[in-house]
Amino acid sequence: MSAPGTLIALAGSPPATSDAPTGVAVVLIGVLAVLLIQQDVLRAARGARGGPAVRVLSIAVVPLLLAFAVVVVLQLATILG
Amino acid sequence: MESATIAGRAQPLSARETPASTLLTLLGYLAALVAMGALAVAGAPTAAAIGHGVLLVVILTHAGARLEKAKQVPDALARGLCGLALVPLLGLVGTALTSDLLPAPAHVVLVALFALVGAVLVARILDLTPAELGVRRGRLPVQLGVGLTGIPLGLLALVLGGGRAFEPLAGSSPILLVPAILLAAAVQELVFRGVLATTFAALFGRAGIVCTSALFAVAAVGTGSVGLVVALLVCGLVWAWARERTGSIAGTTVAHALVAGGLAFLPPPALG
Repeated sequence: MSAPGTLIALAGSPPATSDAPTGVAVVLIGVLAVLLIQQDVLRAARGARGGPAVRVLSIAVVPLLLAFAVVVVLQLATILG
Repeated sequence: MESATIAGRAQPLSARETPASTLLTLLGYLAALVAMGALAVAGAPTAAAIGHGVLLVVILTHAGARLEKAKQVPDALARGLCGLALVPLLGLVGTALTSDLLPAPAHVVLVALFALVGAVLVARILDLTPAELGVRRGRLPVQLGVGLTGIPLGLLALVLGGGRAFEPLAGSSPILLVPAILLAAAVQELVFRGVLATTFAALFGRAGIVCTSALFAVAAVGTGSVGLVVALLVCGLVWAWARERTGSIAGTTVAHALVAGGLAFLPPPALG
C-alpha cells in the first residue's frame, strides 16, 4: 500500500486502505487537545489574546479542527454502516 | 492593542546564532520528518501520525517562543518555523482522513483545502503579501515555458517513481481526479514555492532554494519510492529556481499539475 500521511498525497496519493483510521483519529484529537490547552495556558498567562505564540498555534488548530469534523463524520458513517 | 498580524519583515538572526546553528536546527527537523516517512513506509501509520503530531507541537512552540522574544519584529528563523509547521501538519491531516468511505479524489481535495487554510493562516500571521507568495500572473510566455518543464520532469518522475505512489488513484474517474489534481498542485505550490520559499529565502538567501526542495522531496519519503523522492528533489530545485527568477508560482503550478497528472494517468514505463 502507498504509505499514508505524506505530502505527495496532496498531489494524488491517498492511502489505499484504512488499516489504522481509529488510532490516527485518536492521535489527531490528542494533538488538537494539546494545542488547545497550550493556547488556553498562554492566554491565562498573558491576557485575553495571549500574544504571538497563541496566534502561531492557530496555524495548526484551525486545520486540525476542520479535519476533526471530517473524521467524526467518517467514523459515524462507518459505525452506521 | 495587538495587531492582527505579526507584522514587519524578518530581522537578522541574533549575534549568538550563526547561519550554521540555524541550519543544524532545520536539519534536525528535516531528519525527524524523514523518520516519520520511514515509519509510514514500515507500515506504522499511527506511529508516524504520533511523530508528526509531536513535531508539529514542537515546531510551533519553538516558533511561538522566538516570536514572543522578538516582540514586534520576528526573526527569520521564527518565520521559517511557521512555514515549516505546514509539513507535519499535512502529514497528520493526510493520515487522519484515511477512510474507505472517502474516495481518492475527495481525500486529495480535503487535504488540499486544509493545506490551503494552513498556508493562508501562515501568510496572515507573517503578513506575507500575495506578491511575496508568488501569487501573481507573471509574463505569460515565461510562465508557459516554466509550465512546460512539467513534461520532461513528469517523464523523469514516471521513470524513477514507477507510478507506485499513485496506485491508490487507479480507477478514479478523470472527471473527479483532474480538478482534484489541479487544486492539489496549486495548493502545494503555494505551500512550498510560496510560503516556504519566501521564509527560507529570508533565512539562507539563494541556498533557501535547496532547503525548500529538500523539504518537498522529504515529504514523499512516506511513499517508499526512493526514485520518486529523487525525481521530486529535481522538480523542487527547478521550480524553486523558476519561482525565484520569475516571482510567480503560476508556471510551476502548471508544471506540477502535469507531473501529478502524468503519474496518475500514465502507466509506469516498462524498462529493460
